[in-house]
Amino acid sequence: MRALIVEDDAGLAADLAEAFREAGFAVDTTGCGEEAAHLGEAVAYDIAILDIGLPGRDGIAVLRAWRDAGRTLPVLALTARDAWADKAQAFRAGVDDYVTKPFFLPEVILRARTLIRRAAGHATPEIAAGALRHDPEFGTFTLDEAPLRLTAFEARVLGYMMHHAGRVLSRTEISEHVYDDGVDRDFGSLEVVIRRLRGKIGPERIETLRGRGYRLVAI
Amino acid sequence: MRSLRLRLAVLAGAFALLGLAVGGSWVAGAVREAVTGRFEAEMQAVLVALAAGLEADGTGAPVLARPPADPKFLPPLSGWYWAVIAEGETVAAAPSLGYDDLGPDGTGPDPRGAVLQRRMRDVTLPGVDEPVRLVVTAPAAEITAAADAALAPLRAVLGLIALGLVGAIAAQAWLGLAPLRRLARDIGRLRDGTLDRLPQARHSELGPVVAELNDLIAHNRRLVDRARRDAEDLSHALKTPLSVVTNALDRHAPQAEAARGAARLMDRLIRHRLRRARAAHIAHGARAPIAPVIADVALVLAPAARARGIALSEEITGTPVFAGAAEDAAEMIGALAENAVRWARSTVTLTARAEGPTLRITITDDGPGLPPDAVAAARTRGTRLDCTDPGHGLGLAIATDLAEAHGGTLTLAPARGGGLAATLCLPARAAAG
Repeated sequence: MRALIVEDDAGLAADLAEAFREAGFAVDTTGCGEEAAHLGEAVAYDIAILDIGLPGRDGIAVLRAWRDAGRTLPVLALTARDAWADKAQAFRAGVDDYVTKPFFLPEVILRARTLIRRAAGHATPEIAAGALRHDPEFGTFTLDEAPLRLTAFEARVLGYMMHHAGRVLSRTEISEHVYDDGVDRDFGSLEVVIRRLRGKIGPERIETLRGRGYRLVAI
Repeated sequence: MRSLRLRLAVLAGAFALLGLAVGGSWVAGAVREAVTGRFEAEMQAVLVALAAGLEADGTGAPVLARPPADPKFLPPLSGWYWAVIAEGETVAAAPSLGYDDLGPDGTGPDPRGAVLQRRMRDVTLPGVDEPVRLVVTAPAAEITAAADAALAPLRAVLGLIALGLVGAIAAQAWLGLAPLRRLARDIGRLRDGTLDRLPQARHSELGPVVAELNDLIAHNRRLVDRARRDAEDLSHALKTPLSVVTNALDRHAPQAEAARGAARLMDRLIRHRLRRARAAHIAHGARAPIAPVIADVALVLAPAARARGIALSEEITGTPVFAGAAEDAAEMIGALAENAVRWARSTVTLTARAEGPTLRITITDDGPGLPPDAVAAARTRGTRLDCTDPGHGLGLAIATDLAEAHGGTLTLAPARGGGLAATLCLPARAAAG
């Protein structure tokens, strides 16, 4: 899962980025509204964590730019303004949920995961693909009710594939959602991870469709 | 004297009446003098006629050869008398005196006892040693009556003028001060929000006052707005670093409970100040239709309601309007609705309707409800009913504070069929205008 964090306070942005990375996200951060508007339109993020009170081009304007450009990515607003009128304004602009400052990082991550799950069309907290289950809110995976031990990167790849189980995912799409901007994308290492995942969950669960990509199947 | 109108009317009325009284008594004096003068002239004419008719007889005694022919002197004891007196003896007298006389020197009283106006002259006749005294009298009552008769129309006219003046002065005081009354009414409308600023005065005397008042109102509004914005900006600016501090403590010093408590206290203080700043800004004159406010609250709560499988419904009767700012209505309704969504099992209903001057908004949930002792605790500022759920109790305290600041109330009662019904009674405004 790839998250865009838009927060102008450097300390808070670093805290958020660290917490999201620890939670298994690929993270890009920016404190500039213009750059945020551009990134949100150009990159296929799974979630945006957006500070409403940005200097210059504020969060509401950034969000409107995304929505006007047809981007439907879920947006979790961070705002110091806890007045209901401010919240309503944010919702009217297209925010999916909000957290008021000061907040606890675990709550932000929990809400972000819930939004991603819902955006992928999963109504229940747990995502299932056959015997394989994933609780996005806690970041856990089980196979036949036994916990799976995955590295952070494996969890990121499998998490994305489980959100979109049954759909063919190109290597480009997967890499867009699991690598952040600071990492050179390497299809070779993605293939290595897929191979390792097959070893852990059973090779039949990840199909390779030559020239098109991979598909997680519910078995 | 507390009433300007009364003061103006009494002052002007007193001067007008004093003027009328002085002028009236001067004119009355002149009329009386003229009437008395006419009687004096008549009496003088009779004296002259008596003198002309007087002769000495052969013995050197005076005789009245040609008595005056005026018929006024005929009716007996009429007060109209004349007499000719020589050496203390009445030589001749008017028929009206009958057998009486006016004394040896002509100064004797009226035989009937009435007051007499009298004229006397001593004349010397050729061949008579002693001077002869001629006396003419007229009844004083007749003179006074004649003067009163002459004065009667004057009194009536002066009375009418006085009445007219007093009426005109009262009307002038009433009409003259009408713009002040209109100004007071406009200030009242400014307070209750029907007016945004005072309308231009039509009278040049009030124009500067109205302009100054409008400037003062605008200046005060700017000051209050700036103070509120400063307080809000400061509160908001503190929240981001507070997030950093809270999370740093959580991650790097999980044992530092005292520091975390201090951070929570800072958060509460900031929220409290923010609420105070907002509550202090109860804008006189604001009006907010409630339907859009409830729609906003429902929009904000939709994700939480969806996550919990709660159906949010609205029942708005007519077009209720809150006599306050939309932000304040949203804070109260939002805080209560948020609690309701958190506690409901399946439905939350927001109803709103205006009942005369009262706007009644009820937020009903079908959750577990509140035991009576928890109701009081929940409304106390910052008390939490559920300590695992941060800030829960704050919602009711916020709603109570704000409702009371607007002169309204918050009532918590068990809902029909279980759950909690929180009812806000707030001042309403007429839907139109």
